[in-house]
Amino acid sequence: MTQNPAPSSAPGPVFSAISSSTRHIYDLLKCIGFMPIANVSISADNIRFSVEDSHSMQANVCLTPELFSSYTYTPATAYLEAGAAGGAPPSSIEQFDLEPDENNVKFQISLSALLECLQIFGADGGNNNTGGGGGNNANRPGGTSGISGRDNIPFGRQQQPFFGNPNLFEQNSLRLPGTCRFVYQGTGFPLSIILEDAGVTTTCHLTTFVPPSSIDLIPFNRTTLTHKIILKSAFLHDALLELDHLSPETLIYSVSPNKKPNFSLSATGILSSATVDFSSNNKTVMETFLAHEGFVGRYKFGLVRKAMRAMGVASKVSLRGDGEGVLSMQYLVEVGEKGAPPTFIDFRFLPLNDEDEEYEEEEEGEEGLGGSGGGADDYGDEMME
Amino acid sequence: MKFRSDIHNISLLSKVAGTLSIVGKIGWLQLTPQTLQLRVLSATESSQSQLWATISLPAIFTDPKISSAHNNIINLEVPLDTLHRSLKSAGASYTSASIKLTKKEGIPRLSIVITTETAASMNHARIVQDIPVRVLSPQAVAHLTKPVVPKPGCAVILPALNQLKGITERYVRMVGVNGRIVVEGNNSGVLRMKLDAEAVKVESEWRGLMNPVVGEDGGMEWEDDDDNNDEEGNEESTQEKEKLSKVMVDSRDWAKVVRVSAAGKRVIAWLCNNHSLVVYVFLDEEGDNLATINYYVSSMVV
Repeated sequence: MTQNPAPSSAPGPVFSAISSSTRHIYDLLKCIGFMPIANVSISADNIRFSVEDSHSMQANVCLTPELFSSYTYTPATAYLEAGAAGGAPPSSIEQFDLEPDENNVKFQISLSALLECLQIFGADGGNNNTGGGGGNNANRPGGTSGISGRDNIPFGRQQQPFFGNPNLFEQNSLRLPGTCRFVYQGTGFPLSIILEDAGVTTTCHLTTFVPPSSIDLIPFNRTTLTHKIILKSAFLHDALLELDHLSPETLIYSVSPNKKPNFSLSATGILSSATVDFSSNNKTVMETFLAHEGFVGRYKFGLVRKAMRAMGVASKVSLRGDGEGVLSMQYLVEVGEKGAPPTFIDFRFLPLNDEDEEYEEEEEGEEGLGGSGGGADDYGDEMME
Repeated sequence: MKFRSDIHNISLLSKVAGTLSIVGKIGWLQLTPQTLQLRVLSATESSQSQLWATISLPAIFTDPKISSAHNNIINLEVPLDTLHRSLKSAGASYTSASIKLTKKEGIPRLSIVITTETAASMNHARIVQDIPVRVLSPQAVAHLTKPVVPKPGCAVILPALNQLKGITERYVRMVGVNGRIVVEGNNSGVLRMKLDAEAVKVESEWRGLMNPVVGEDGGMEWEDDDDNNDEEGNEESTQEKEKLSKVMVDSRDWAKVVRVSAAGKRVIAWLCNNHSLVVYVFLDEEGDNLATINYYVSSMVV
């Protein structure tokens, strides 16, 4: 045990939250369900689940108190200060602050077991077809059967918020009586989920493991931000689905402030290669396009593909690159009631070591800010400083 | 040896064959002048289970003719999948169906003849399906009897089977193929399912379930009115009612139990502490016990 000693005098659980719908929580966590183990961090602002793959990619889901009908975080007295700081309710972006906070409660759990447990809620042998459960390749989409039928939306058509359209979910999303309670008693205790549903009470105790001494977050350097693009997530999804047919090894991600196309994704397969270009002029495609300088990043396609489920459920995505070539994707997912604050799913990718300089040359000499955006949505605006 | 009959309830026979094929491939079919009995065995390294289905002849056959040199009893070994598929092919549109034991090219067969009539054409279609079978001698089956189980500590009517099935699917995924699931219950309406996997412990609990009266013998005697089976006649004390009986079964076996149970209109589970799990599946409406399935699964030692 390298963790803080258990708060033996604590009067109640460190963390407790109640939801009447596990469906939203399941759908959000499923987006990072491609890895079996997740790091969990609990604070007054959110409960965060993080996974990483090959030390080259990280994905985070933050469940904010708005997703629960009650959310209580009572850290040990020593940590009360941190919890009580910040009088004003934090903005959604602040809630999504990924920077490490030493005061948060942290542990590891089996994410695949958590996803299975959440499916017990409202489980019905008749039409429970959610499958998956964290298999590594479970969310590789195959054609139109890809992600929850989102592929049926005509390209270029105004897309409804994903969570507002019942057709996009499995049918039993509408059948959700009962409650679901999350309880964490403190270090050494399991994360417990108590599901009460139609005459049966299921208690799941997820073993909590001590996390590695430091969970290295892939650093994203905002001071060297090269570009920010906000576009409808569906377009990114369709583009990657297109490139995925080539079974490529590498995704080449290019942003150019002045030259058309301003943003393109390309990939090379064994027999052919393809490029998808995005126009920064078309506001229905790209809500925001801000670029300080050219950016070319090469990423492992297999890792980027793992974000496709998030692309499927999100309405928008914010793409950013920093001076080191780190790519950040933040997916905005509209959950629950209309007007409720959105939830974010964050992915970060380290670039592949690029021996190949040709792309750099292409972009050389391009300076300045090619801005075509702005957008009414203030999501992520703070990131532009 | 003769067997021929018209079938008036082909869907019931088909359902029974389909349910048995969940457990095993080959079944023992026994025809007597009163009943049709099918039995299938399943044995793995860690567990043993057997399923017995009994249908009274009038529930499926019209005017059956059964005769043999051995008290008019016929014993056959039948491929359950083939039997199920043949019966299922009748669909809902059949006008008549019959079954008989024949011999073609020296091989005994159950020959099922189904006639259908399509509304559009008024044409009759006649489908004949021959299922190769093996005739078993009375000696070969003499030792085959239903298992004897101790008086169960808990008899309980299983909760909503769709829900149970959904939850069981999740359990099986969590404990894996060789995983173990503990089922425990008492006679005051409690039933629990538990798993203990590496990363998670899960327990589902139902309360307020019905506890039917247990007969003395290993077979099921079900009576809706005043029980006259209960020779002891004593009301269980509260302490006895609260006492938990526990069985531990292979996750795949439990999944099969739940699938088999899903065929029933009502299902009673007997928990014989650390010994076995017996499930009584009543395939027809309340009151008539014309078609029943008994499924015995041995418990692993906890």
